[in-house]
Amino acid sequence: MKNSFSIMRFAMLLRHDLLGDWKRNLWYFVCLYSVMTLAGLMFMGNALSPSHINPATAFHDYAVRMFVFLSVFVFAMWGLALSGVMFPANTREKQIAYLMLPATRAEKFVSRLVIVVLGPCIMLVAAALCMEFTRQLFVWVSAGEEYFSGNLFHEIMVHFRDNFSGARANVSAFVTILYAWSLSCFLLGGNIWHRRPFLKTLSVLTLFNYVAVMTTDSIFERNRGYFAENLATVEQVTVFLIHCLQSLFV
Amino acid sequence: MPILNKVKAIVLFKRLATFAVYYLSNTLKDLGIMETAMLQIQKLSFSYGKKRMLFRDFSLDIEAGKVIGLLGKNGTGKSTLLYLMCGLLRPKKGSILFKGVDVWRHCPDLLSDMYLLPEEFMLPSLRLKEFVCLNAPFYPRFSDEILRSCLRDFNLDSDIHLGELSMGQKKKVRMSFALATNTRLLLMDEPTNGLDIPSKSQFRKVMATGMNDEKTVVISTHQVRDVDRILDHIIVIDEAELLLNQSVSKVMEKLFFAEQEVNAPANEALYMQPSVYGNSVILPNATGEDSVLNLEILFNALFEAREKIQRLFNE
Repeated sequence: MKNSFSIMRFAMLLRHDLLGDWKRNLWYFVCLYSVMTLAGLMFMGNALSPSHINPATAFHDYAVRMFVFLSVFVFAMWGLALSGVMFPANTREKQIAYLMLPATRAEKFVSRLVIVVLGPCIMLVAAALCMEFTRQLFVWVSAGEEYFSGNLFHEIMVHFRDNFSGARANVSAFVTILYAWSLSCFLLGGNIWHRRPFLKTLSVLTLFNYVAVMTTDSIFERNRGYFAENLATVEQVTVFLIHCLQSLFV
Repeated sequence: MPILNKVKAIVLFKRLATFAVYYLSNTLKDLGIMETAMLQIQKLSFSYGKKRMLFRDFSLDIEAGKVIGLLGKNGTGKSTLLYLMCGLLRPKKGSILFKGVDVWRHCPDLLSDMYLLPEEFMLPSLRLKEFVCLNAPFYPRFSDEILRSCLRDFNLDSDIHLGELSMGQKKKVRMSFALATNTRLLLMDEPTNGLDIPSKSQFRKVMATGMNDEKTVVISTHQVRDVDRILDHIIVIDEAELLLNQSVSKVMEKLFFAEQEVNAPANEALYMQPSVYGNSVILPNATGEDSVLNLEILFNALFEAREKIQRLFNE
């Protein structure tokens, strides 16, 4: 038997991890789909109410709301999946069984990484497509066709392109980096805490962000003059922060 | 260019030498000239954290084709030794070699040839067929036939859902799977815990039918009566010390187990303890007579009359 990385064994391990825990994976998908669909329909219902409706912008406003909601929801769900990186070894019994499985440590780690990084990606895309299909079905059945029959994800992409490209590219890059960094914290948390890793990581991240915001606020308060002159716009602040980050590594 | 040729020649020589050593050692093993243990524990030292040393310079060789009973009082490190044997724990000092390779390396080659049945375990909520389908491919010598036969011996159906079984039934399924993996080394931690009385005799039957010359089973237990009839070798440990490491045949050759009336003379007895018939005694087996192994009394004797027993085996 090969003692280095074996694709065959890796595939067996993936199958073992995925099918051995198919109920959890199914629940994850059902949760993604149902919450996304529910939110999609609720926001649509809200936008359709006579007091809010504006035919010209109804669908765009709806897409923006969904964009904000999906950003937060995807972050939470992906974080949940990433924090479960050590799920097959979160109790002593499971740990023994997983460690005794005939595969290399690298195969086991990569298999878990693939499951918690790529798995949610695939499920999110599938759940989003299902949600859009359900929404279109609902629009077709209800009277909302006039306003909401467009492609939601196309509208979200247009919104993203209009607001986070060109001059604001730095902002979107910074937000994306922060998003990825925060998600990677869940991966780290999952390795440190085997019990309730999501809640523990979320607590630490919240605390860390609170301290960071308070510290930054204090620095800004003390150097108000300098910042007012050099960091007046969001773009300037972002460039400043990127330079700060660069200086940490270079 | 000459340097390159020289390097090539050295590499070729090294390969030839490695092959020659491998071939020679295998031939000697096949001829029975060179005896090598399947599992070698060499000068092992281990402790949990900074607590007192559980094992200090502990050495032990385990040969192939035997059912070995690893006995000891609670907390003497039986389970720890099993976990060290399969590489779940890392020795502070020393090494544990299985087929000549350090178990701590966690090579898939080694892991696919050893199976650990822990005292407490979890089975996924799957049908047995699905469980086998997901786990069996990791063990190249897995036998469906052995699995079916063991399940039959345990009076279990092969079409069962693991989530619906009791703890004892789960243990039987896991035990059957462990035997069906056909690994050369099978480590069992308290396998009879949680089994009812009929299941304990079923366990002995399953173990006897599932054994072959290539397989080594190490059973760690303090329930000596459950395993005394299936053991080929006995290892008793206490406070990281090897109190006994002898084959059952050697034990029977040296010791005679008997039941005596209360008033019967017991001057020659190495050890004696009260029993329902009077006294259970261990005597030196001077005549080479056959007796029935009483593992419980032997175990107690090793703690109460250690020197006498050990002296007899050292003679």
